[in-house]
Amino acid sequence: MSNSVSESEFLEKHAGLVYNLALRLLGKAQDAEDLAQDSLLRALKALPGFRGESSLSTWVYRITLNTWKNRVRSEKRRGLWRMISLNLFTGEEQDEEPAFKAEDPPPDSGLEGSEREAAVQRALLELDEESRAVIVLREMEGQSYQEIAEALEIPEGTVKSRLSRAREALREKLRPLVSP
Amino acid sequence: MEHVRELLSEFVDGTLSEPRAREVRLHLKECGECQAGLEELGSISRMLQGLPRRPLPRGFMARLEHRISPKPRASFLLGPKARMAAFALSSLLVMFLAYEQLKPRAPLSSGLQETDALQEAQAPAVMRKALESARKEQAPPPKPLARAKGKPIGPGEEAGALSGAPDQAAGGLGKTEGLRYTNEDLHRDLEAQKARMGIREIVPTRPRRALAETAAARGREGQDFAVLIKAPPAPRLPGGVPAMLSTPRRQAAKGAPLAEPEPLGAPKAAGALIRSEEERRGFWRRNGLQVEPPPLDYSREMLVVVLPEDGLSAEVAEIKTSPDRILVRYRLSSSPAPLPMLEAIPRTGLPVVFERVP
Repeated sequence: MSNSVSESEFLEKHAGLVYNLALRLLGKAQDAEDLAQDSLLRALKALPGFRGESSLSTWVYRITLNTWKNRVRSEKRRGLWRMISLNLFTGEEQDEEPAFKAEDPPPDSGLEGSEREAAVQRALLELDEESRAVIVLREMEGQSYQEIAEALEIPEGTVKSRLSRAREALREKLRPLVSP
Repeated sequence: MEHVRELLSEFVDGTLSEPRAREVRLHLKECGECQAGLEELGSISRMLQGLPRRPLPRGFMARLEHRISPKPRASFLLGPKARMAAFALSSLLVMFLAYEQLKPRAPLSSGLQETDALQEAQAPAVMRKALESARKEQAPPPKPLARAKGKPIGPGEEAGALSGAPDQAAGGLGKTEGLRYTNEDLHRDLEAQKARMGIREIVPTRPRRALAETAAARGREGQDFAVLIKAPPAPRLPGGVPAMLSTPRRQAAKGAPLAEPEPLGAPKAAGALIRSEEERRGFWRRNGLQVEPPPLDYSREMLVVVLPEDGLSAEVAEIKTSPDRILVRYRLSSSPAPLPMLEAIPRTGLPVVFERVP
């Protein structure tokens, strides 16, 4: 299957997917590009060994997520992640401190298209990484539970519970924006 | 029915089984709280799905392709005119170098550089005349002809292999008749020269040992003399062609640690082999050396010294051991503070031969 996909075709189809996934996971355009490029390089290197056990998109997402998780671990070890409380909307302290919180997207991050968009992105970045990955894959990338499970290499039941938890957390964070 | 909040996520996604989905729908009709929760989840989903997809940053693919197959740095950082000028200069340089390589050379130099027949054939007559003229002009007063096995080593009576004359290679190579040489002549005479001077192909190379190192190294007691070979710089004939590279030799009398340098007026070299502390002190005194070397275990090692001369520092380039001798090749180089070169080598009864190299 992999033989039928040339590098250029692969990049044409998946570079944008990987970049946008990275952008939502990280919130910063430069960080997203770095992650996307590293992930695509790894994917291209591994492409000849792709056996088609999952869809190519799921496979690429898995590589991207693994690359991201490796980075997060590395950054954590280096103590570069800053813990920033972003309860901008509730003004409340969080009951449970997340595994990590990314920096507030800077004004030049390219994500400030609207106040609502910026608020959603900030809320995403407040989620723990596991919840963030699940909600991004589900809501933005339109992946099924099974595909998310394959991408994250976790059971489907875990996907459901994490997704429910992520939605609940976002509902709390974005309540001022989502009041019906 | 209890609240169905925990099911709302799956209900929104439509992944609940039909019976469970029916239950949720029934509950939602009766429960405003869960109904509000459902609407909030839907709103969040719409917000998330409404986040715009960003295009790839400008240059993203180019940077990626560069990382996939890094290209060499741009080879043309110059403008078109500058490139043309650089190309022209490069061409001129190549032509000059080619000319330097291909222009005719005196055959005598080829004896030192593995001359081939082609070079000989290309040597013009004018070159031969210049060579002959230079030999006459540069030849020092005749000295006793060196002999090897009782035979003259050069046909010219004015030249000798040990005379240090600039043209001794010419004389030593033994072909004066019309100054015509063939490869065979050159090789044969060169081999004869080497045989007379004790220069051999010495295969094993014993690692050099710093003076401070006094590792155990057993040597044979026995002969106690040093041999000095001095190679004056090759004079240059008209045309810039080296005329010779001689290695005159003088073997010191047995027991004399320091061989005499050749009195040729050329830069002198002094190498010595010291086998005892007493010898070392005497040598130091005779040569006015001030700095004392580290102590040496002369029962196992011996000291090789090459003195500076003419304001040039000595540097041992190579020490080779052969079955019948130890060859110390050294060179002299300019230095603000000329220093002798000391090397500790395993003690052995073999004679030590010093040879200056360019």
